[in-house]
Amino acid sequence: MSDNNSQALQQEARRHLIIFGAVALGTILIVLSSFAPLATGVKIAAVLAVAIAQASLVAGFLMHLITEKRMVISSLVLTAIFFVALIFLPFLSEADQTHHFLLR
Amino acid sequence: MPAAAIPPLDMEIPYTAEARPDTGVYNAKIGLWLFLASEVMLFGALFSSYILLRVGSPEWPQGLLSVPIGALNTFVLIGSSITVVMSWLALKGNDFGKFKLYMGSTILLALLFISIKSFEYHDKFTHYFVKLKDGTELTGHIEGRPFNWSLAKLKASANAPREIAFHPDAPKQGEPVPDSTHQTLRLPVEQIAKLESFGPWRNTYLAIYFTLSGLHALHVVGGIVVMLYHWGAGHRLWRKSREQFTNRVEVTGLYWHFVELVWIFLFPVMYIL
Repeated sequence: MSDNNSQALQQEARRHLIIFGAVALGTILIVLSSFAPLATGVKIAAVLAVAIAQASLVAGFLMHLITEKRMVISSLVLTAIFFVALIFLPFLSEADQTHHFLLR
Repeated sequence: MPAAAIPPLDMEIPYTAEARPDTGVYNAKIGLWLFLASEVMLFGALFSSYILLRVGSPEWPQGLLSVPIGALNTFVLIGSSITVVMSWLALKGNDFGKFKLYMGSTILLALLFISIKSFEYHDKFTHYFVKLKDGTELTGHIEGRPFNWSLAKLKASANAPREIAFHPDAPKQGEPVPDSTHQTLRLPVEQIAKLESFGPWRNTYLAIYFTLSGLHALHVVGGIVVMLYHWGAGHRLWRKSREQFTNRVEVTGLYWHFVELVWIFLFPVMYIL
């Protein structure tokens, strides 16, 4: 193994430790927010924002998505579109938008 | 069937180590990513159900789960995610000893996660709701901490007791302290109208909690099995094809990170919000 390769691996290991620290910090923030006197809506938004940031760090750096090939990224983009639609379905149903549009 | 159609036994599976020209990645990696895409939809459907149940529910229980225990489990899983990536880096650096150390640590952390989860589950199945015939409702623990009792089970047991010793829960912050707190209540069985543990049948919140966390725990167990294989018998591949073994560990790591990703959302949704 060349010195360059060894150095690159050491650098990558260091980067992963920084990610570990950042994700752990995110967890601490989420726990602290549970004790904070925030309005429910603000609390949900804050906690989900931190969780999304944590997830981005894990997916981007630990799963190497930031350097992944186009083939993988494009299949995940398609998944993300369907996932977002799936998550917003309950809101659509709750607001009864379908019914509203049909009546128009 | 013509003889020519039977593949030879020593046929080599292509693109296990090197990248396939059209996809740019080795086959196991693209396969794993497609599998993870299907997993995203599986958990997505359950999270979507959670939202539907929650916004449609007139009240949602709070404080049923211990935040410090959930946070501890989060740190355990984050730690295991780092050790699994370190085990892959060790293989990239041709350090097999370090791989064994990091992969072993990941397995131990995963087992710790499951142990803590089991403790939490056990606590729910030994925590009871009691409704008396006079309308009084109590939550707490039965002496001896019996597992998942119900009124029917209690009455049908061979040595059915005439009364149960019940320790009511401490009131939550801001709630008035009833006289019964810190006392052991003797509840006559004939006075009990309903007795049930805090299992998935107790309310909608616990039903979706057990579904989501149970499915996640199954994924953790699946990961442990695969990692144990790589740590044990599976590592023979290292002598035959180092690159292929390294790739196997990489895709296992990708799966494990996904398991962590799911927990990153499960923890705040179930314990905090």
